[in-house]
Amino acid sequence: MSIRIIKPGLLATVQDGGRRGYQSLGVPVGGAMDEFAMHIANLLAGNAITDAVIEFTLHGAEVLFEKDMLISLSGGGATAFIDDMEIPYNKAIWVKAFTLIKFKSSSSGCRTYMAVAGGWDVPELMKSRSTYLPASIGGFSGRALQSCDVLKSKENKTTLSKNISKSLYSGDALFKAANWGLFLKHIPGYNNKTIRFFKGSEWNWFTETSHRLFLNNNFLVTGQSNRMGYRLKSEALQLINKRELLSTAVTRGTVQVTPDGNAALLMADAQTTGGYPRIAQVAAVDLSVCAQLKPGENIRFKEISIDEAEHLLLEREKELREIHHHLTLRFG
Amino acid sequence: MNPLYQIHPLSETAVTIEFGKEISPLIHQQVMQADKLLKSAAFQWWIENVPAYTTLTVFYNPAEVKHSNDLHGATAGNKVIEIIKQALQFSGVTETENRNEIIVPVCYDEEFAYDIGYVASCHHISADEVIQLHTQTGYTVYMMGFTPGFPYMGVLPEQLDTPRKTTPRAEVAAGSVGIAGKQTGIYPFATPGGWQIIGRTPLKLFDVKREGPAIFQPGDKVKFEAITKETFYQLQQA
Repeated sequence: MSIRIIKPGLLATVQDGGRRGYQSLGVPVGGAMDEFAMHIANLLAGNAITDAVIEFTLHGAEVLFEKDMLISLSGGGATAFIDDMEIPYNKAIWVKAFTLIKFKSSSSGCRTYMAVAGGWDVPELMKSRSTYLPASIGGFSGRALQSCDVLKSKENKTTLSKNISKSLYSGDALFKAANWGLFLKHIPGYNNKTIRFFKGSEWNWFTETSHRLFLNNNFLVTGQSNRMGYRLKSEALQLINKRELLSTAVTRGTVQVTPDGNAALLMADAQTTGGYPRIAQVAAVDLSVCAQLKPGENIRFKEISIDEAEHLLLEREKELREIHHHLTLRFG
Repeated sequence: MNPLYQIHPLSETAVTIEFGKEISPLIHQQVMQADKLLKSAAFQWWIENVPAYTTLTVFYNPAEVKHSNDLHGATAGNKVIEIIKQALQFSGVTETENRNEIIVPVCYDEEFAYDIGYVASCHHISADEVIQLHTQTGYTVYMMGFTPGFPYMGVLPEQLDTPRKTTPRAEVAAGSVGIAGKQTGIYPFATPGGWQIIGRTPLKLFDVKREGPAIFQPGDKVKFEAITKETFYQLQQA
């Protein structure tokens, strides 16, 4: 079962839960920028939550289905159409062979995830199917998807996938979206631009004025933003004393401050180590919202405790297990 | 094991153990010991370790911590810190581990060594003396980072200690050997880079097609060996 990329849009790559176990060799974890959206898309297609998905950036992509397929879309940054009919996000969708999906613009979000029953079939490299573009590792030949690329789904599908697919089969219709879906509380939303964080290891290196500024100012996501991280713009954050940090591990969600006083938020393809003082660590559950930011948007930071951040993360994982449980009850 | 360390959270899924504030062989030995200890402990919740100059960062799965331990109301993060502290008490392991010793062929020809003249002039020595100093010293890989397969090695002889370039180069060729302060390193890929470049190795530092994709690992011992341009091209073809 395959699709053909007619247009990839701004940037389309194959991603999954990331590459674990190679950070000590300098290999970034990578994987989907918006992990929650990837998890949701995969669950609705009957997959394991970290199976390979396609990550589309903003709108412009066009994808031709060459076979009948069960897919699902989650995330933001685009609205999907078959002819002039809108395809809903966060639903299981059966698509008829030789149907074209076009992604048009949307005001909310930045990245759309397309899961397919079985997951996308690209070779596993260093335990992951994620594309890491700076070193041309993984995904579809180590590169972003281009027009005319043909991408297959894996043959081996779960019972869940098969049963969902069967339930949506609609003969000659171009597509059918499930009439069931997620509880509203589980649907990812990207309108709240207040990002929760806890203090980074070098929080105390910064002046009180900088602390206030960090807690109260808007931070603009600049054009120098990509899968590695976002350069943020606000008033300059200042150290009490000029100090140097020896390079040490950093991770997705780390907010570093460069010598010019600007903050940088590390994202999925973050380097494994860094040498800039870390003012904050964004709560893992809010990294999905961060992944859906576009250059030109503003965010604010709100402090929570690390204990609360951990609690929120564990609750999020519980939510995913619940969704899986409900799907299994119905289609397992 | 040295009890003088601090543990602090990096994220909800990682804690950093800090053994000191300065680059030193002794501190690094402690980092590598802790790395070995925690790897061999094979905790259910353990994902991976990232050694750096004075720190070891431990990535973990908080749900698994909760699942495999009775937390008594504590957070998974606190529990991990407690377990690590317990594990580090077992100081039985001494430094008897076989370290890989890697000889890295480097061509120091001016065609590759963009900055060897600058480094030499900084220290009022000749380019030949730079080569001699760089090759006669044994180095340790303290950590990896920046890009896949990039080794941060030390400690450079004082006469080679040269600050980074004020403006990084837009592109440094793959295999370029550089100097930054007391460190020396090698760029595995053509990337932007701010280190002073004094040579190039024909070795492919990182190759996903290899079983072990990276030539270097933290803790490895490294020596450089000067080669001619002819040898460089021969090895590059090989």
